Amino acid sequence: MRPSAPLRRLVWLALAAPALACSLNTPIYFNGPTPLLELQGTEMLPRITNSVTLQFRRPNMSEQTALDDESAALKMEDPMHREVRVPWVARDKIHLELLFTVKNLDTDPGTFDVVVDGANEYTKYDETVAAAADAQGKNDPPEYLPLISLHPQLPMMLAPGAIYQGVVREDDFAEGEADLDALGRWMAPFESVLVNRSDVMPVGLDNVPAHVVTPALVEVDVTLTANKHMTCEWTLRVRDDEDRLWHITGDQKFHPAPTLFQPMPATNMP
Amino acid sequence: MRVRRPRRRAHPARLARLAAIAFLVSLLSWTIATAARAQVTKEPEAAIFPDPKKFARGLFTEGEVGAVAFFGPAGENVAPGFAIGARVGYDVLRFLAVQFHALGSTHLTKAGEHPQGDQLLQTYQGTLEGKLTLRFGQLSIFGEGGAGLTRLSTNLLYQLGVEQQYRTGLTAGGGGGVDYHSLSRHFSIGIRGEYYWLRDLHASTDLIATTYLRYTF
Repeated sequence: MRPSAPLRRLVWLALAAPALACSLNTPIYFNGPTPLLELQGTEMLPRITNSVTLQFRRPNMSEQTALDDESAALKMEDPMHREVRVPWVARDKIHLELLFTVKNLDTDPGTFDVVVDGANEYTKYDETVAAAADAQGKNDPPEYLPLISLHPQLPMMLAPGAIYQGVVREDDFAEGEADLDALGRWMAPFESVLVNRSDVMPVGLDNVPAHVVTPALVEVDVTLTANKHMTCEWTLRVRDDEDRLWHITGDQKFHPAPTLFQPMPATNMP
Repeated sequence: MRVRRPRRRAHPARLARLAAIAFLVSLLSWTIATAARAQVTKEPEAAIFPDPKKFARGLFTEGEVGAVAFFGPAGENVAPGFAIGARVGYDVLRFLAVQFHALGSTHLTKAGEHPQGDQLLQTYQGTLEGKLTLRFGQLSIFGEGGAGLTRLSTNLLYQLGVEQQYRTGLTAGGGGGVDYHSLSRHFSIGIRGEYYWLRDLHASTDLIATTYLRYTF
């Protein structure tokens, strides 16, 4: 007896489901460099940073043409006809999340913080450089403004031998990536942009074009600060919607050259 | 005075008619007698129920749900998870079949103090299998085994040092189960357990336990 058409469709669906599932939810994980971030808590400046730079393939001819066409369309749309480049490593195609574990190896409780800086394909942000530039002409100690933080959840106290496991989520990265693009390409006032969440208080984002495509981070810098002996182990989780990460030897690599962001030195108001 | 009637002589045509009637009657009685003799002397054969010969045989498909648990190095880093799978096969003989098996399962990672814990991980296994069946009426037991490939949805086990090669590896193993036929010719249900060796996960193993619905065309 020949099976009915719905039954045959069901059979095909059952066979195709595993193949379909293979293409869904396939994040790639990148461990932070070894050795782990480690502080004794006795350093003059108890801060330590390490980084992962993601490698992407170069766009092929058709992809580059599509990027150019989109850029031209955004330029036409912009009231001032500014160059609004569409990034290859875009936030809506590359989604980042940071998983980290901090362990207190000391015999006393201590306070720690974990923050994230980084670079997109146009701009690199380093809070140490920004703090130093901002502190010029002032007698105050440098004020560090990270690109992405979990404040006010962190900093927090950690008991001796205790472990804290945290996540810097994709939406936290999305906010930091929007801030970095606003600083780098659209001359936004960096303190206002970094302190405020753009979806709650979009301060300083007036120059950002309406339909700008936000670049994702291509470099992630993780900084641990701690006043006791602690370690931080981290892993970066990347969801690559359109297979833009470089993983085939024959593909050419994408080599962005981001410019280091340096805020304008503070001017003494009369 | 007595008058003697002349004796009537039998007409030849009438004689022939009588002979024909006698022949028909005797033939009829012989036929009836034969039928009666058959009814009495030969009992009807007992009906075989259920008759496995009436079960469909040939191309078949199966859908299954169940669980997959890992043992060995992978078991230390991957929790048991829900599984769903399918088979397509062909009954070469009443007792022998070949089949392709595809199974997907979803898991959470266990990484202890490491930050890679509680991440979703899917495994996909595709194997070519042989199957031997021993039927007892409506019930049957079977053993099966084969080899194929396993693929992981992420490189997480590679980052945890469990996976030797990136995401795809060889697998081989087998198992068995019990099948119960529904008597509707095409459908049967059953349970099965399989144990597979995963060469590229530091020789970890996984146990697959599923219940299935089978349709034979």
